[in-house]
Amino acid sequence: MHILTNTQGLLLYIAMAAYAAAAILLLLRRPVGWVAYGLGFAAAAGAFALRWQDSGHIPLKNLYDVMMFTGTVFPPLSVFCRFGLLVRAEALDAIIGIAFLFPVGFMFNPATNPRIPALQSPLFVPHVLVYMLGYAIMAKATVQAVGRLCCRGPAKRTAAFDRGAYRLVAMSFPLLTAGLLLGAWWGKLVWTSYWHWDPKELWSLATWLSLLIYLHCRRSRWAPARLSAGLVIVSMTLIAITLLWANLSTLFSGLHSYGG
Amino acid sequence: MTADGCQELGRLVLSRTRTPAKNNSMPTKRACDILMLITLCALSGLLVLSIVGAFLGTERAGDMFTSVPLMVFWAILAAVLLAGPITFAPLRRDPGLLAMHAGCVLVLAGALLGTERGQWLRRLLGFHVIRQSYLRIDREGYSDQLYDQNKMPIGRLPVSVKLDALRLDAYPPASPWPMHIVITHMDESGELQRHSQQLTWSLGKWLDVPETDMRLQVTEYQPAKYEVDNALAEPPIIRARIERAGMGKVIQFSGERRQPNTWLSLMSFYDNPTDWMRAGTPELVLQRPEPMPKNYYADLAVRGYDGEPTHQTVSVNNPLRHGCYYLYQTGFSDLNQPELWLQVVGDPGWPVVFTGFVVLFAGIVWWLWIRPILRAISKSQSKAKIDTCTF
Repeated sequence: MHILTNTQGLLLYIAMAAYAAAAILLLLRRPVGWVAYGLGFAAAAGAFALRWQDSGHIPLKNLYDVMMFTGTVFPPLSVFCRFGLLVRAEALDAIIGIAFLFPVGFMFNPATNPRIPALQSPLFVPHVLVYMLGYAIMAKATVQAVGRLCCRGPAKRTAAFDRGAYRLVAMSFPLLTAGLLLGAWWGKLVWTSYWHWDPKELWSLATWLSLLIYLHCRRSRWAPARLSAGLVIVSMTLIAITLLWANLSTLFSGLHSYGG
Repeated sequence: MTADGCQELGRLVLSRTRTPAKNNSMPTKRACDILMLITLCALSGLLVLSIVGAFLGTERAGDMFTSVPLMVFWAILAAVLLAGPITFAPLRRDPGLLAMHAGCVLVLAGALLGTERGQWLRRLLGFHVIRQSYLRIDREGYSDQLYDQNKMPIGRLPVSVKLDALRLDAYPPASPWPMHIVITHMDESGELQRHSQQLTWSLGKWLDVPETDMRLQVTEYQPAKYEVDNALAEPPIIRARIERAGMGKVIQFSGERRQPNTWLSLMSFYDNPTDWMRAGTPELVLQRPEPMPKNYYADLAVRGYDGEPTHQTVSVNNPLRHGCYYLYQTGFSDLNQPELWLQVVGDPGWPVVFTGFVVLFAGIVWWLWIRPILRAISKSQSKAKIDTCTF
């Protein structure tokens, strides 16, 4: 565990504090929570911009970068989901934002390294970008799925959770598919093949398949809604493994080892 | 498109894609249920295999997924993907669902066409390609001979290739240049053994020089300067104070412009050459860091059947394509190296797989993004009430 002592670190800590304040205020249904949430976004975006300036390229190269990016996108994502998808739970979004920013501020190595030749591809940034956006939306979908499993209220309320989870998965699944396909295309151009059976590829495929099973269950007449909600949680678990375990553990060394 | 136009398009699409559930007869429903169950089993099986494969590692996972039992599994999966639209009417009617299934079938077919086990299919379709090989090219003449991993000739490329030039785009080397202490000792057999250790110094701080009784303090470091193309313009200059046995001296040395290492003997810190030799002839070395490649390129002349050479460049992210063959520059050692080995991959399945990717993604975007928007536009006219999800 370490403390960042530069401006970037300071902005990250301000963002986390503002997110925490926003979470509490929004849970208490105080509109001023949105101000805190906006302030947190401004601070996180500032830290991301400084990181971009330091590294000389869009910072999506390692876990430090991608977790910072994902933690930053939550406030605009909350706004989009509230007005575009009619799915709320912004207080929990702020908490998830903190969960993404915390390892950046206290755990991951902030050193910037130049990009290796393979990462100079124009496909690299969209590949990572769509994946991280997809992961952020899946984190929101998981909140709805947990709500569905825990909710003992009226059928209308459980149906609302079901609908919320589905709308978020429907938003996330094309992004995860784009990430998988862009990665395959990039692999063909750089590593001679579009598929290498690399551990991280396989974890990503497992995530994609679990969401595909979810979408099929939604279409079937007999699959219970609780099973669908469970599948969303399984998918998020697989995402956590793909993002953290497959990157950090030496057990899964492969083409994606540079991402750790 | 106007709002009315959007609504009209939405109505038109949805009228074609809505499931006519009441018209389904019982046997069809049962067939659909069975097919859905098989699909879910196949997807679940693949999910479990993916997780198992992740633990096996790249090579063993590749062997597992291309083994005979798994080839049977892929065939079943392809059959299920084809059976879906045949059995289940909404899959045929909705362009998104149809594209998703067709895209997956194309990806599987293209993958089969490109794998080792798809040799029979390639023969059937008239593709005679060498899947994995290497091409040795140089600046002297054109070459089309392909070699295997053991550098044994295995066939010829449909085009011949000559190396024109190698280029390197590098990052400016890290600053400061690393400094080492080098000690030379004579081993038991009378041979001189030299070993070095990097000094991790920071400006103004004293450090004990390893394997000597000296200590060193860097008092000034003027970093190297580089041209716009990262060529070395001015080497760095180091000024340091070294103390030994109560004697202190300030030394200054600068990196060599042409040599990778700059040597500075520390003999003057000893009373006589014999003492210095007894101490292992300690020397300081300033090492020019190797440039870290940002990208590397090979300019090639490619001559086809017509004999006219065309000039093309391959780089890490930009292989050369000719027909089913892709030529990759996977390594780089020296700009002046006389020859270069290109990795050659023959894959007639890639265009099919890529088409599958596009069709699959288009289907998913249609089904999950565009269709709901069209439906919402259509519903907005009838002012349908939409519940919001709250937590």
